[in-house]
Amino acid sequence: MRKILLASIAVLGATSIAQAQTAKSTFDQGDATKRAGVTASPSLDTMPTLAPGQMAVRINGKVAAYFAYTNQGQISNSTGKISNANTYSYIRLYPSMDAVAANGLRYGIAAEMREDGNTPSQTSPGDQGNISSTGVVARNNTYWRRAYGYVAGDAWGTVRVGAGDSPYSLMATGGMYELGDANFCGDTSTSVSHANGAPYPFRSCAGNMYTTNKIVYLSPQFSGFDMGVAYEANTSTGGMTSGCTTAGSVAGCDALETSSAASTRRKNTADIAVRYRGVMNGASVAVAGGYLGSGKVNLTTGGSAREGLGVWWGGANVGFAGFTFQGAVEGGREDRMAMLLDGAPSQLTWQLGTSYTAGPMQIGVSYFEASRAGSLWNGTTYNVKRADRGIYSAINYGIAPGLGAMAMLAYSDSSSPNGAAAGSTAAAVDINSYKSGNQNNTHQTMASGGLFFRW
Amino acid sequence: MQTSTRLTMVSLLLPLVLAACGPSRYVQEDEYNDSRYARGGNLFGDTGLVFGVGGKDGTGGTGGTNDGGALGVNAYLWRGALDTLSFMPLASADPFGGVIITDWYEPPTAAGERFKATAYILGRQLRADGVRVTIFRQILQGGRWIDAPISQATIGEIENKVLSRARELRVQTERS
Repeated sequence: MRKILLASIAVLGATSIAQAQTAKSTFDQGDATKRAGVTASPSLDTMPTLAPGQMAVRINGKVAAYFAYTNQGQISNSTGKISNANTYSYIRLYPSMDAVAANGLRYGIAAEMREDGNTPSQTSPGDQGNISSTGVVARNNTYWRRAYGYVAGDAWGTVRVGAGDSPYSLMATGGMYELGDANFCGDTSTSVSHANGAPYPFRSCAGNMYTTNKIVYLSPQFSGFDMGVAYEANTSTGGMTSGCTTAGSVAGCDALETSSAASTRRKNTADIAVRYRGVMNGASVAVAGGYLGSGKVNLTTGGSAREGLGVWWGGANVGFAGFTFQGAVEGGREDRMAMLLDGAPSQLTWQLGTSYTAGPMQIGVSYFEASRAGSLWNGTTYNVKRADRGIYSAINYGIAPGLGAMAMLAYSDSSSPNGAAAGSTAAAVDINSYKSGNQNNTHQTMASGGLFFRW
Repeated sequence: MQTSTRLTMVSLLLPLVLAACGPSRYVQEDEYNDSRYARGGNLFGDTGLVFGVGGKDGTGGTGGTNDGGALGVNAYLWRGALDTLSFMPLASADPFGGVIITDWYEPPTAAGERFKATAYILGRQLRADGVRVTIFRQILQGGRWIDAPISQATIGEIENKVLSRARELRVQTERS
């Protein structure tokens, strides 16, 4: 042992031609920048180290429970009123398998099981997790949210097949989803009941894209850069059939059909993203950007013509000395990743935020704004855009491995000009159906505290 | 469809462009945004509840890949780091957070030069990237200690010493 120590001293002395050692950030490559946009934590080193011929089967999971206080823009009408107080909890299971073949080939599967707690209509006992109009109901249904397999090689990267994320969400950066209960994409935001509550415009954290079947290629990392590309033929989440048994005569075909509902379905969706992660002058840097485009299911008759998706996005996360500074931007031919009506205005949304981590505690704040068509733009009666914005602050505390606490406070609002009827000056927009008369704005204040259990 | 075609063509070319940038590194599954890998650790260790791979080879049996006993981090890496840095005066050591901070040390063979080290044990797994060492160096100029650079190679050497010592301790445990 003494020899080792002496060797260490000798090594320490031989530093005359050294490269400058700047102050180390608490975020470092392989740590904070390991996943773009996610706060550093030793717990990120979660992949089992497998030797060739070995396989690991894992069951990860999460239980979250919240108490929330939500003020939903002076909601009151003659028929009902919503309480400000609410409680919320759910469980998620993440079974997975990772293996390395004797020849070094990596392969495995990953899945996510959830319970259905957010379906808004609660009329049938036993099938919903929310409050039921018919009384107390049982715990709700479970379903598979993700299920995919992968094969990978050190030299050529990873290929995923199945229902899972595309690079749009896998490499999303700057969303601050590690903050609180996942920023505005978190659980507390679901406590806002009415449809026009300011919805979070970034969809990389939501299920629009990752529940469908697709094939994804993810490259190795070269000099800090890696990329991903995905292809999704249609919006199938599991079935092989193309959605109809007689072409053109029934709803659900994936290329041409008669149902107007089909006009909201995409097809031939392609997604590409490039990401950089590295350390510059002691600061961790993660930058990512990409483009997602799609075709659409055409209609024989009826329905409103829509456009395929054409979405560009980018984000950055810089970490230094416990601080992170994050930003994200997204826009193009979309309305929160839904297809626009022909001629509707494009979406533009941005977000900025910062956080500070000290030991087991993280505190942060973020702000977003969005300008988009929304449901108010229908091309005939209303031709207005809506504007959403929100500020979110939270504190997270790691009590013990697998046990964390969170408290958050957020405000968001939406607005749209009155006089929205095409060619008219009449006040026609109603953005808050819970309040009598036509309302051109709505706002929410949300506060919640909760515990997370992970295994 | 034209957009998709263009994207596909660009996608096929991009890996070649990236490959021209230099040597590659496999990107692990947990380097992407994934619900399984949230911050804050897991009740059953860093890898969660693991079945199907037994032993203490870093892949764990049921209960994860701890090898940490009552410590918050890998015990072998912790002891390896302590042993490796023990020639320097110890300022603080947090076995639960996995941080070792030494005081300034002036080697007798290098007057006018002193070093300070910080070691971070990054998890409960015994793996090559489970330890990170930072070395600070100062030289005496005009009666004042001035910060001086230190090479990444030096830091790498120290980290390798920690890993070697951890491996020795592991082997000793297996034989005992």
